[in-house]
Amino acid sequence: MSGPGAADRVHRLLSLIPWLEQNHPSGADIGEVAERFDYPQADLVRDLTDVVNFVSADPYQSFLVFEILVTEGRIRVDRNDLLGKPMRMDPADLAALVAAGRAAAALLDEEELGPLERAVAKLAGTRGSVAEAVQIRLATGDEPVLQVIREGIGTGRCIDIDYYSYGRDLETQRVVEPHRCLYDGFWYLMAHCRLTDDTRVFRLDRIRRAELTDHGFEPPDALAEAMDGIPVDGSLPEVTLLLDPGVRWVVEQYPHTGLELENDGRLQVTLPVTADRWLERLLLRLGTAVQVVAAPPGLGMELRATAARRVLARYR
Amino acid sequence: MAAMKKLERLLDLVALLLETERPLTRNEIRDAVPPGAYADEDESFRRTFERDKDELRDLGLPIVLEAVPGSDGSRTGYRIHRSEMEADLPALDPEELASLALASAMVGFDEAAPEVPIWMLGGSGGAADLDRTRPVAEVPGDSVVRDLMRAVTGGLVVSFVYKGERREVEPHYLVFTKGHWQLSGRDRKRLAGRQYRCDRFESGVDVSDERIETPDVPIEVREDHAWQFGDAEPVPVKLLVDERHVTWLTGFLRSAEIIERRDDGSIVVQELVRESDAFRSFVLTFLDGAEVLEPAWFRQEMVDWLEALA
Repeated sequence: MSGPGAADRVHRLLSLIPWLEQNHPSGADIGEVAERFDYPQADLVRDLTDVVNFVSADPYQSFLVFEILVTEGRIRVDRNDLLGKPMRMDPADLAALVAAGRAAAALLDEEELGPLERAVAKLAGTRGSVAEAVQIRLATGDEPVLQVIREGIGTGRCIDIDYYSYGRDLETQRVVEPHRCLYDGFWYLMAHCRLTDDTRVFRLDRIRRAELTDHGFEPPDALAEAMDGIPVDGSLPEVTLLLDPGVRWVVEQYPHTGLELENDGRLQVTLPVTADRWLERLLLRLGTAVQVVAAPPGLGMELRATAARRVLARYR
Repeated sequence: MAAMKKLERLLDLVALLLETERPLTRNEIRDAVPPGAYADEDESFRRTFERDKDELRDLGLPIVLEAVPGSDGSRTGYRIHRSEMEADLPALDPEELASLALASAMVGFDEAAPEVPIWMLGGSGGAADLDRTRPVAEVPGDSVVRDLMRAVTGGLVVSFVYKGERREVEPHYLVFTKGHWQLSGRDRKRLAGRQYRCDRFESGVDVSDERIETPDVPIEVREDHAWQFGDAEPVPVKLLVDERHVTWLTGFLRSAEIIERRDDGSIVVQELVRESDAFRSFVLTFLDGAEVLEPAWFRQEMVDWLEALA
């Protein structure tokens, strides 16, 4: 059996029948109804004629509650003694939908906003002020940059960017083939970078300048659905740190490959190092609350001391 | 054919539970649905019925268990109150439905959460597939978040384990911000407003039946930076930041005031700081790309900190 299972079909039918009766008393095109309710058309015809028309609230099926006419590609509810109104939506679903609608409004073009704002207002109205209780806040980042990227993706043209690489603490100019923008705490651009000839992820708020170029590119057939996290498979160099209890946020914030609680309450944690500059920042921020237990050459306490001297130079 | 038979049985069950004027016991239900819907054998019938009931409840059908009148509470039965099942959902036109479908495709919940069924509002409106120029945000939506959504919208008291302690909370807001869900509300033990990061819950969420009073002043979810928390008097700190950090920094700080733009592209921002330790930690993420200018005591603290590590 393809299509939705029995319970899902019950769910759809309990919405579809009162909707049809209220909105299309003289009938509707069955293909359109099937598409609207995401119900395979053949299944819908069969379920209505063979099952729904025989539903009863008594063992002898003497009082059939529905009479639904399916003929010549159209569908009409002639009798519905059971369902006065559509099924109530789960308040959590409704709240999620309103929150998503409000958040997406910030990402739409001006001319697309009207219908969404109307829909959200109608839905929010059904719940009163409670609909405000669930919110999704997505920092939209730099709108002009996002617009340039969207145009690049849409027209298959490369963009030229000035990008600040946090890991290397360096700004570079590069030409990228934009593929997709995704949000994961921040907005990111997934793109093929022509400078490194590799797929890279760029944080939108670190793109200082973005300009559309005349260079075209072939969009990839398959787009990555999500971003890869920091690998914890041993492919990156690793440092082992001993952390005072007061700085255990490090363990919550960064992926790690090993964790041990010492008798004195300190934590020994092994972290993959994505870039030297990243480790410099971490060690400077933690100060004397951390000791480096083990590190590859160049990534130990001497890295911290060199970084501290470099920053100090600014203050002298 | 098994699926057709099940669809028939579920629809008959819904019809029966909606139409009945009093709660029906399990055995009464077996006798009232068309012959053959359930097995004759008791155990097999019980299992199938329980499964049907659970599946229908999962769809949101409010099947309640109530005492059978005249039984002094010794017998219980099932029914669906029509008023709890039906809703006056707003009529949305196809354009509005399409925009909602687009919105929920752009801001979607991850696999752990069920899809929000837009067709319950009268169909999808024939929304086109999301084109690849659209930015897409995936929001985590595990069972903790689902339960909290229900609690927050219904105004129901919740309890959960957080930082090693069971909390009982009157929930006010559930907000996804900076990549995390945050719950705000009144902690019943501390008798004060609190905020909890949902991915740090150490247990599932128990949603009680107890409804809270609508608070006069609900506890808002705060998005303050770490150095803005606390009761200390805020101190204005001037920070010089190199050009390469300017774009993201100004977006990140939001409330900071840019008080000077220099010819080399660097800027001086002024930020109000209550927790200087937290702000020092933030400033150090710029490495040598930023410098505290004022106040002098804080600049000296930066120097002392760095000298101890150099």
